[in-house]
Amino acid sequence: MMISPWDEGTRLYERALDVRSGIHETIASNMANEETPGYKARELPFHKTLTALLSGQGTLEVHRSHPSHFALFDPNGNVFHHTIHREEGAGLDRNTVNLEKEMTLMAENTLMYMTVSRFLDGRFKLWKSAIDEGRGG
Amino acid sequence: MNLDRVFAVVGSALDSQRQRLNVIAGNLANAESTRSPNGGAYVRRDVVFQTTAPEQPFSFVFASAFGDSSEPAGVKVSDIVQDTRPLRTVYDPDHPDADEKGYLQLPNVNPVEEMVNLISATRAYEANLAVLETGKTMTLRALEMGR
Amino acid sequence: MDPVTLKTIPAVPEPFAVGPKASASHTGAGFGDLLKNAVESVNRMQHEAGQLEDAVAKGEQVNIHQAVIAGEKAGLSFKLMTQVRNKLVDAYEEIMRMQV
Repeated sequence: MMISPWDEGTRLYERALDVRSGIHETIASNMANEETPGYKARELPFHKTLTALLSGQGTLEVHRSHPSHFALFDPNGNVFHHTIHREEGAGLDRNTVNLEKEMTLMAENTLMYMTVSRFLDGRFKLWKSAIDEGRGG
Repeated sequence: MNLDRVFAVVGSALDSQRQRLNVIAGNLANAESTRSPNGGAYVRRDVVFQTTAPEQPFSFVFASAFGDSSEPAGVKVSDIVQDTRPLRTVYDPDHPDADEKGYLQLPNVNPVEEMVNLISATRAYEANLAVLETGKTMTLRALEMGR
Repeated sequence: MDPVTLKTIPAVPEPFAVGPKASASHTGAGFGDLLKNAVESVNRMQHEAGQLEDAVAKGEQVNIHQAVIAGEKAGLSFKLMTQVRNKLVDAYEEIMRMQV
């Protein structure tokens, strides 16, 4: 079995992107429900979720092991397993969404997504050039 | 970045805010209407928001199969209700719709309040749009990996 | 075979054992397995990447970065395999050119 550096070498970045993606969807839910009475703001803690995904705990490792047809297409589904619902900061309508907080979080989360994508981009280009340079050598 | 799911959530938000804007516009347009379809002065209307699972072909089936209820949630207008606050009453005996004592009932619409709501709905609309735009940016970036 | 003789003669290290059976059954099979596994692994990655790409094309919900990453990895593996194969062919041809 040929072990290539990209078999496992990208795992951290991939899972980081999965979590960032999940956080963006969480923000979308909160923004959509900013004025829904009784809605509790959702939070997806980045570090805790990433650690759990990397260690395979709390997830069903659906991407590889589950026979379900949907598993391959939505391995991110288990990211939301780590969502917590915020109770503090409720207004008169018992809603705990804070628009400014969500906007700030979205800015940071987006930047991190773009940055990690950039890292992966660099890796792929590096490996590609390493293989290409081998040609004719 | 799962743009389809982001789009579904944002789409539901934009739709809901648009409905809210329509209701606000109706309130403002009828702020002085003394006649309404069901008789009497116009009664202010308001929207009621409710969390909902947006239209999803696959992932929500997946999530519910595993009992995970923390999947992204959209929003919808579950109801349009009448404002229960009392109507305004003014003394205006010359008005054709005044009662036998000369009192006229006017809608319980406060234009200032409606303008505040209008700004709020517009801001919410734009904020949700920003979520979609950002999602698009991330998707485009992901597509460029390795190119 | 005389067991006593076997004990006193130092054994020839396996990979260099001369004789049609020794080299074919050991060296040839081991290397063939390595190649076979590599090809299977590349095939599997191509298949997974293809499935994700099909899902995107069909409008099903996919995390786009996963589809892109799977595609890149499959492409890299395929390229690597092609390069290794080329090197093997080159090496084989060079050996064949050698005067025995």
